[in-house]
Parts: sequence; structure tokens; C-alpha cells
Amino acid sequence: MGEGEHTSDSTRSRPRVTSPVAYAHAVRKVYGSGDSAVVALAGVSAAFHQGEFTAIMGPSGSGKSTLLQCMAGLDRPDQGQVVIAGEDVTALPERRLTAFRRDRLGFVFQAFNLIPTLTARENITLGPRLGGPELDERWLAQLVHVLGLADRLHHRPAELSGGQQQRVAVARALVHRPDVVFADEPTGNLDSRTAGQVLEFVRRAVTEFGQTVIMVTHDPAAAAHADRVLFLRDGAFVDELVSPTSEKVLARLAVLEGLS
Amino acid sequence: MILMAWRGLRSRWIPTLASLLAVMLGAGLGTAALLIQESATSAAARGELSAWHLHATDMVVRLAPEVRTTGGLSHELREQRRLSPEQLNALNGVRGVESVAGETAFPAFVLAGDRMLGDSRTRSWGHSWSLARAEPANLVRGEPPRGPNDLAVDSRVASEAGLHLGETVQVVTSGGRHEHRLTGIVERQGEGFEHALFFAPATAVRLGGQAMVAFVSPRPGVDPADLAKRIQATLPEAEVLWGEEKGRGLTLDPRAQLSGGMGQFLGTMAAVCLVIAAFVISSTLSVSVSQRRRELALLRAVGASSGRVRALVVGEAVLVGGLAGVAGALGGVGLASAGLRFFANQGLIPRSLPLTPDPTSFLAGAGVAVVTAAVAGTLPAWRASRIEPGEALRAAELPPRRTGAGRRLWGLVSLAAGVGLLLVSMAVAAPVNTPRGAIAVSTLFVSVPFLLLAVALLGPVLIRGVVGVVAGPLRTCFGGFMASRSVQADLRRAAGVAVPITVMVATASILLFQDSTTFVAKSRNYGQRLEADLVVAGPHQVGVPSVISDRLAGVPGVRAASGVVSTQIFVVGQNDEASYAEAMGVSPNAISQVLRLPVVSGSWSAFTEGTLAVSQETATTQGWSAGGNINYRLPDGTPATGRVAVVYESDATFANVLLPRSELLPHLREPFDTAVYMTLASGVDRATVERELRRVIHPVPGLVLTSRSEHLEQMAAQSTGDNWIVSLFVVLIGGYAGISAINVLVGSTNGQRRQFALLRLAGARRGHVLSWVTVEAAVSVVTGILWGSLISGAVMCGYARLLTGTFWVPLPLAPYLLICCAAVAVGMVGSLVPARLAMRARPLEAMSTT
Repeated sequence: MGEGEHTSDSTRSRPRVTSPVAYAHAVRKVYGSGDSAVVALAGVSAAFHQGEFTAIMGPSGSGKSTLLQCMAGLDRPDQGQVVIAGEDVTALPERRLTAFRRDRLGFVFQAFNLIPTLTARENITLGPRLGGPELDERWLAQLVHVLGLADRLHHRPAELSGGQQQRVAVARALVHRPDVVFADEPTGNLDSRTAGQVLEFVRRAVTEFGQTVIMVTHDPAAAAHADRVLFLRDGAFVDELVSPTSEKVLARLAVLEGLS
Repeated sequence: MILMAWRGLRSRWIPTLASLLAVMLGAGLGTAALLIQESATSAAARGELSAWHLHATDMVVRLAPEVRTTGGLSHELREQRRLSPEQLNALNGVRGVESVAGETAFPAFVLAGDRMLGDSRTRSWGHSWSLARAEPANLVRGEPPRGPNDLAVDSRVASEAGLHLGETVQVVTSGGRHEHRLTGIVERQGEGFEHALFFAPATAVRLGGQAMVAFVSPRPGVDPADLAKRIQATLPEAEVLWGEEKGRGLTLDPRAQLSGGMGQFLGTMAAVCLVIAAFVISSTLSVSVSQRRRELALLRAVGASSGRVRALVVGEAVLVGGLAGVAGALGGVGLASAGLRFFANQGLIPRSLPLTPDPTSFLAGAGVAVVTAAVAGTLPAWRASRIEPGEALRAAELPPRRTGAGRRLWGLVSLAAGVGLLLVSMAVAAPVNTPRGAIAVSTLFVSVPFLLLAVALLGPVLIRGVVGVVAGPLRTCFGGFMASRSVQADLRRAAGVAVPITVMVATASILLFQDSTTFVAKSRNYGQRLEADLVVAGPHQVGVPSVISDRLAGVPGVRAASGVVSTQIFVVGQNDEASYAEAMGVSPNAISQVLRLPVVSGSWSAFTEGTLAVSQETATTQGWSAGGNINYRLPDGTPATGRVAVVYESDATFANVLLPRSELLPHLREPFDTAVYMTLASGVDRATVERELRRVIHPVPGLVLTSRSEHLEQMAAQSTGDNWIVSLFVVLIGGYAGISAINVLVGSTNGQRRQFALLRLAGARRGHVLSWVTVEAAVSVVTGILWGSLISGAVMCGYARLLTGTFWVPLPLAPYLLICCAAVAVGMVGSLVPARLAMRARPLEAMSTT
């Protein structure tokens, strides 16, 4: 597929010392069957490197959320392979996959997704409680400090603002130093100022702590915080933008819309 | 609004279905109870409870089977009143009467080899030949019985016993065993629920006493209505039946009176079911309201008034009540007919009782369901109406608010009411066989719904206490940690699960304990009272022919022997207030030697013909004392006067009044002793005496001689076999409450689907989630068991005190553990199954669908 070549060109164009921490190879996902079949991913390949912040953009129905879910082991592709930190995610049995997600991946979702009955601190430390890697108290303290959550730790989600809730979610995604953090529209429910704070923090996690982040978004301002933006359309990568700004992203999107 | 309510129900059809079932069962049982009651009443009025239709006689005259106090209240008598020879003569003298024939019915059994034909199920009666003519029961072979030894029998009896005309037949009556000659065999219509033996009229009077009914033939051309008036003018107490009414002239089956009792039993059951249904509907709606807070808030936000939201929730409840009420009431008709067959097969009601379809029972059954549902819907509706519109716009899932002060207040009020009733019952503390004791028992059991209501209202507060205690140890595992957090975050949901379990455990254990407490108390009291060395007992519900006890008393070596026969007498107090008293016919000179009955005042030696012995409790209540004269009515209404010879001390399970048997027996339809108690003279050879006693009872098959301890064992075995009906009740109610609890649990667990999905996204395995669900269910179930046991324990202590005077309660450990296990099973099924099902979907999908 033409788009596939385009993608491999673009990954080659950013030479890295390290090998990719995560990559997707010819991932294909079809929903339904027969006439009603919808091709969500038409054989997508991409590589993601250590300490890189990648945004995935595309119009609705382009397959960006499906790709994220297949990469994160939340959904299984029909064909292709996803490898994260040397583990073939697509081949892991369900139990091992659950443990792998808990220990090696972090998640931030649009709808905050905190457990309503637990306090902020308990939500953040859920992974260790579930048998994940041991809690690094110093790292937790640092996270809480940077995220400005120090005085909110013993509040329940209902007692926190949206921005605070999302910062708790970010802390939970980072507390076990995962190989990759997946973020699905993390600022979708936030106002632009709060969204900016959350993204600024994600940015710092990448820059200062070498965190790898893959984020799906439709917000050019959010994408501007990333190192690069991959554009997805009809289940395939069609373009890539390095060192994006809001304006550049908007322009690319306009071109993409024009294509349709 | 109805349409919205309907849609709401459809979208949550599983919990709705369970609510529907709960109400349906309540409505069905209610309808069935009313139908059976109605059938019994109307069948009694039509005479269909009787095996005798009396088609061939013109009129039936009897004395009304009731006693009227001077105040005009009528009280039903236990026995048919007798017509004296003078009264029969007077009847004969009434103008327009051609002839009068009396009929006496008395227990009479044909012996077929070593077997007595007839038992508690198919009774066997002796009659005057006049009944055969009045029925008619037509001779198919032979001659009518004319001589004192002649006998005619039903063709069914003849074939079952293999009797032939002219043969000598052995017959057992209360007078013992006699020989009769079979002169005729008759056939009659009807299903033969009773065996019939016909004797010459004079013989019937000799064996069975004075006439119970008289068959009157008018002279040709006499108008029956006019004649009836003239008869009533001559005999003011007479009841004259003609036409259709004749059918109720002669009802012998004592179970005819029980039919209403079965209706009452079902009615109690229906009431319990509806109370549970109310709790279920309320819990189900509460859970659904807290799950739909956002949706309801949205409704409020777009302009629905709080009244409209309230109407929506009550509307759902009423819809459930209406649908289930109608369906349940329809099912109740089938249930009633099945119930009649079942009870008849168990020998609890006459087999001749037909089902009377009655629209009012149907409407009442359905109506009660609607009302119950509406009442149950009010609390959740009120809560729903308080949801603020703004909640719809909030992003986070809001935990429900804390328990309201109003709810706590009402909870405390019903707790106070429940405890108050308990204390009142303790304060009254009269033995259960007295009117005051009956009030104490009712007060005791009325406290149960109040205590349950208190638990329902204070549930959140109470469960917080429980969690506060166990949270520490729980926190050591993930499941425990999540469970304690989740319970603390939403106390109402946890309480909503614990309440049905409480209801289940409390009702099931009270029913079970009540039965076993009563039984154990009775056996214990009976055992403590019984001082006889030897006991003769007869077949179940048939007893020992009364003549046997006199013969046993005459055996050398027997110091004292008394047959005992239980009945009721009717006491008219000083202020014309009338009451029944449990009475026992005994041999006055022997009773104090076979039963331990300590004297309070008077003396047993003064207890002779023309006197009575009364229990201390009754003496106090009625204001009687030793030496005083009292007026009373014998079981068949005959007025009598007697002097109180002795006031004795007894427990709540013994008769209030003792009468000399010889005075009581002529007034009983079935003069058979329940048992004969004997003590032996000192120094006699027991084996020799026993051999002699066996020789006395030998002619009557079915009589057994046992030692005191054997007798007590047999009584224990007999009574434990009797409580199947209570077990059935427990299974029904327990199962019903269990289903309800599952219903609430399913709703509650389904409400946590999103959290399960969130946890799994955060890396929890299914095992993690299931351990959480298990611990949380366990907390609620254990709390429910605890509360239920506390309530039933308190009530049962009070009940034991009323029965035995001590707080001692027998704990039926095995059944109790069974109830607890059932509660645990209910909890696990109700939470683990839906949790497991919820996790079949991938976490992300599960989240997006919520």
C-alpha cells in the first residue's frame, strides 16, 4: 500500500540511536463482516521511540482510536503485529496481557476514568495494589508535587475539578514508569487553559523523564505539544509532521479535508 | 408519564421481572387465601362440606350450633347441640307434622380382621337408620336394621371389609367392641368421603346419645314455610332447614371447621409475601434510582418538576403492581384449586370442599398488590425527586448523599416502636393459652415488621458501623480494600443488599424457631407434667374408646388411671363477656396422680362430679377462686354450673379447665380419649400388670401400651413429622426473600459494571474484580444475617418466655445454618453471576455502553 511506503519513509527520515520502543507492523482490523464490513485499519505500520511524544490525528472514523486500542492491547488486530518493549502484544494471552498493561503501559482517557469510590492517592496507586511493580514513594511525591495534587490526595474524584481529575489520571499513568503511555483525547473534556496545563505536564514527562507517549487527539493545540504528528485517514497513515505547531497542524488537516 | 414509566421498566427488565415475580406471588397467594376462605364459607353455607345431602327428607330440624350471650353476640359451638326426647316429642306435636325421626352420629369402626376401617382421613360413623331413609341410602341387599344387634353398612364398607349378609361383624365404638349381624347393604350417591354404618334408631341412641338432628315429614299439603314458623314457635332455639339448605343439616367432619383455618394460613403467608414484596420493590427502585441519578437529573434540567419525577418512579411501581397484581390474581385461582386439593390430600380439609370462584377475592388480591407497590415506591420516589438538576451537568460520577436526617428519624421511630412492642409483650407476659397471652403473642409478632422497617431505614447507618469494625482486617487484600471503600462510598447500596437478606433470615428463622420453640416447649412441658408410668394411646386423631380407660382403671395393680379428652368449653364472665376455655375431661380421682399439677388453693380430693379444676392463670383472669361456683356451657352448648374444687399451677401449654370426663363425654360427638395415663401401685410386678393391661386393650386394634419414656419419644417423633407445613412455608418465604435479595443484588452489581471496566483498564484481572465483588457481597450478607438473627432472636426469646416462663430458646442449629447458607448462596449468586457476565465484554466496550 502506498501509504505504508510513505510511513516507512517518514520513520527512516528520523534516524534514532535507539531501536523503537514500540512498533506496529501491518496492523489490520475489520469490524463486522460481508457487505457491512468496515475496515478500521488497513494494514498500518508505525514505530515509536523512547522519549518521543507522538500525536495521532485524523478525521472521525479514520481509525485513530482503533489503532491506539490495538497498540495498547485493549483490542486485538485481525492481522499484523504490535511489539512493545520487545513483547509481541498481539500474541500475549489475556492474563499476561492484563499484567503487561498494568506493569508496562499507562493510560489516560478522555473521561478521566477514575474509580469514584477511591481517593486521588488510592486511584494513583491502584496498579501496585493490583500486584503491579512496587510503589516508588519518592517518584510518587515528585509526580504529585509537579502535578500540584499535594493537597488533593485524600479527596474523592467527585470532589475534584475536571483538570484535577485528569492530572490524577496522568499521575496514575506515570507512577509505575511505564514503557509507553497511551492517551486517548486526554484534553477532550477540559477547557483550553486546564488542557494546556495537563499537556504541559505530559510534555515535561517526555522531556525531563524520557517518557514515551502516544496520544490520539483531534485538537491541533494539543498536537502542537508533541514531537511529531502522524495523520491517519481511512485506516492508513497519510502524512507526518515533525515539530508541529498549531498552525502547521491546521494547515495539514485542511489539506487532508481537501483530499476527501 | 405511564409511557415513560413503561419504557423505564423495559430498559431494566431483569430487575423488573424479579419485582414482577415478587408481587405476583404475593397477589397470587392473597387471592388464593381469600378464595379458599370464601369457598369454605360458602360451601359451609350450602352444606357442601357435608357428606350427606338429605334429599329424601322434607325438613331437617336441629338446634342452632351457637351460643348467644345476653348481649346478643353469637359464638359458634364446637359440637352439635342435642335434641332431648322431650324436644322430639314437642316437634311431633306441632300441627302439620306427620312424623319425626332423630339421627345420632357417633364414631363407629368395622373391624376387618385385625384392622379398623376408617382413620383420620376417611372417618367412619355410626348412624340411625333414619338417616339412610332421609338421604336416601337405598338397600341393595337384605333388610333394614331392626333389632339391637342389627347392622347395615355402606356397600363400600362391605366390599372393603369383605362382609357378607348374615355374617357377624365386629364393630368398635366408644363403648368398646361389639358384635353385630349384617342385615343389609346400602348404596348412596356422593363420593364416599365417610364410611357409614347404620343401626336401628334405638341402638343408635344407646351407642351415640341423644339426637343431633331430626328429620320432619309434614302432612300432605302443609306449606314448609308455615310449618317452619310453627316449629320455631314451639322450639325457639331450633333451626329449620328445607330445600337446598338441608344439605348443611349434618356435617360431621371436624375438618369442616378447619377449612377457614387453611384460608387464614394462606392469608398470613400472603401478608408476609406482600410485606417482602414491598421491601423488594422499594429496594429495587432505590437501586435503580441511584443508578439513574444522571438521567433523572437531566429530566429535571430540561424542565420536569420534582413532582413529575416522583410520579415517574411511583408510576413504575404502580405499573409493576398492576401488571403483577392482575397476573398474580389470575394465577391465584389456579393456586387456590391446587391448594384445596393439596390440603385435602393432607387430610387438613374435607375432600368435598369445592372451589367457589369469587370476583371480590380476585379484585382484592390484585388491589392489594397495586397498593403495596405504590406504598413501596414512595420512599425511592421521594429520594428521586430530590435530585438536583445540576447533577446532570457534573462530569464525575457522584456518590449519593449521606443518609438524610428524616430517614434516620423515621428509622429511630420504627425502631422505638418495634422495641416498645417487644417490651409491652414482655410486660404482659401472660401464658399463651389465655386471652391476655394471645395479645402478648400478637404484640410480639407485630414488632417484627417495625424492626425490619427500622433496619431498612437505618441500614446505611448500621452498615457503616459494621464496615468500621471490619475495614481494618479487610484492607489486607485487594478485594477487601475495594469492598470497604465501595461500601463506605455508597452505604445505601450496601444496605439495599443487606435488607432483603435481613428480611429473609428474620422471617425464615422466626417461622422455623416459632414452630420448634412451640414444639419443644410443649414436649418439655408435657414431659415435665407427665408422671404416669404407663400410657395407652390410639390411632392418630382417632384415640382410645372412652370405655377402655375405665376397664384399665379396674386392672389390679393400677393405682390410678385417667383417660383425657380435649375440647373447649364456653365461659360467660361477669360482664357478659364470653370466651372459650381450653378444657380437658379427666378422671377426677386419678388425674393428680398421673399428671403433676401442683395445688395453688383447694384440694384434689374435693375434685369430684359437679366440680371443676381451673388453672391459676384462668382463675386470676376470671376472678374465680376455690369454693366458688361458676356457670359455663359444655361443648354442645348445654348450660352447666360447677364449684371450683381446686386451682392448679400449670404452664401455658396445658388446659385451663379440667372437668370430670363422665360429665363431658355425653356432650362430645367423638367420646374418644387422646390417651389414658396410668400409675402403678407400689410393689406390684410390672410385667404382670402390663400383660393384664394388654389383654384389656387387645380387642381394639390400633391401641398401644407404652412406658412413659416410650410415649414421650413417640410424641416427639409424631410432632416432628407434623411440621412439614411450616417447612413448606419456610421454603416458600425463604426462597421468595432469596429471589428478592438476588434481584436487588443483580441490580446493584450491574450498577458497578463501569467500575469493573475501569479497574480492568488499570490492570485488574477478573480475579481481582471477583474478589472485590465477593468480599462486598459477603459484608452485606453477613450484616443481613446478623440483623436477621438479632431480630428473630429477640422475638423468639420473648415467645419462649410466654410459652415456658423462661428466656430459654431451643436453637434448631441445622435448619438455622441452612438458612445462613441459603443467604450466603443468595449473596454469591446475586453478585458473582452478574459480575462475571459484566466482564464478558471488553473493558472499553463495557465503559462506552454505560
